[in-house]
Amino acid sequence: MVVLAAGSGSDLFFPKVYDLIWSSVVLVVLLIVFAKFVMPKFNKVMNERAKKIKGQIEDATAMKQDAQKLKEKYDELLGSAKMEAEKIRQEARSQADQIVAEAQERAAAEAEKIRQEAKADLEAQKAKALSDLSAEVGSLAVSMASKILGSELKDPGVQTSMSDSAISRIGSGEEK
Amino acid sequence: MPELLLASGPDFPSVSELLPNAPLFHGTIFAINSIILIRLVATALILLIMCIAAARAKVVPGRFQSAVEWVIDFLRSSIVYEFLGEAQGERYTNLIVTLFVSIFLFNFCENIPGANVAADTTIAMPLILAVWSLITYWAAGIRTKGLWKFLKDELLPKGVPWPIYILLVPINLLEIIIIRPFSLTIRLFINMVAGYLLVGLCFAATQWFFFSTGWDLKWIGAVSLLGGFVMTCFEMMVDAIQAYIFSVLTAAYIMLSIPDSSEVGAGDPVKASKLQAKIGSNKAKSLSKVKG
Repeated sequence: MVVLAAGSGSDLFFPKVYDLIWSSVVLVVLLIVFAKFVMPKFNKVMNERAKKIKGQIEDATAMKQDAQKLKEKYDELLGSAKMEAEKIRQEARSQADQIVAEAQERAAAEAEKIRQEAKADLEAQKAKALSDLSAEVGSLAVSMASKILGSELKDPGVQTSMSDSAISRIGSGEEK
Repeated sequence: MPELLLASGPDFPSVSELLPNAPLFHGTIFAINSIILIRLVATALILLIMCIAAARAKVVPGRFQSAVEWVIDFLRSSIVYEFLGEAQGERYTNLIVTLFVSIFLFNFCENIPGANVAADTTIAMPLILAVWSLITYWAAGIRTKGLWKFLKDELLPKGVPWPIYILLVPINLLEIIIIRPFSLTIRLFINMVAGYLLVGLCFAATQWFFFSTGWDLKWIGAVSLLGGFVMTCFEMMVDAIQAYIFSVLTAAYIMLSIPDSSEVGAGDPVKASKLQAKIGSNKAKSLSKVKG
């Protein structure tokens, strides 16, 4: 009742002219500033951001695709490199086998040569020993025979005939 | 005896405080009273804040810019696009954002110490806002349909037997000229008046019980102080809700004025396809505008 007593409530609903004017001024200023400056600026920034985000997503997708391609390329390269390595290894192995075989062959040939030389040497030595021995045996036989038959052979005639016959026998190969 | 009662009772707020004298330019049409002064200061602050925010707006936003953008985005997606669609609604985004931000911050002045009254607690401000809403939805209807078609759609709804039109035409005319803007005006204005009186009542009671009564009654002051705190929080909510309702209703009135594809499509398929094509070309136009 105190509230109602103090003022006439119906006056509230009748706008004053100056109030209408100031309200209009305020609204027009607000509308113009919002429409001409505030909203365009925010729209611009927000669109820019949307565009940027979209661009970044596209970039990321493109980069992913590039990476995928690169990976495929590297996988391919790696595969061919592995094959190459395998080929090289096999070649090396066969070459090594060949080298070993050649070395073995050469070693065998060398051994054979050494053996032949040794054999020839042996033969030569044997022949020399035989000829030396026959000379030695001759003189030894004469000296032994002269010791045994010393008395009888004092006579130079006998001596000569006996030695001749012995030599002829040796010469003809009848050693016994 | 009543004077004594008045002097000894709490200093309750009265509606006469909402009809202040105009000390500046008194007697002219540019007179300024205290509420208009609050409104002018509030307008200056709104412009200052929004212009600083806009001028400093960057692609990577700061905290304040994010908040402003959140409000714009919310209004755009939940009011403009929801009611008007993206193609037809884009041109009304500026209006809806301006209405919501201005009304909310005008309302919010009632919670600011020193102002203590909303900047739109005289009927002139809600009235002017509602008149702008009226102008907008009439312009929207005339622009998209032409004056005659707009009036025909509004006044002569389809599927009604013709004698009813005798009743419907004046009612609908009253609706689009008087009732819509006045309901907008009165709803906003009365909410602000009620908020002012409620919060004022609580704090006046607190003052009186704390400083003019005996110890046995001071606890009532504590209760009313708590009540004032609660009412202030409640009013903050009301401020936002009233701004939202005003914006939503304006968007809804614009929606009722412009052609709606689903509504037309039900009755007339040829017209609907034509309209779809028109909306499509509008969309393409707005898109090319964005690109340009």
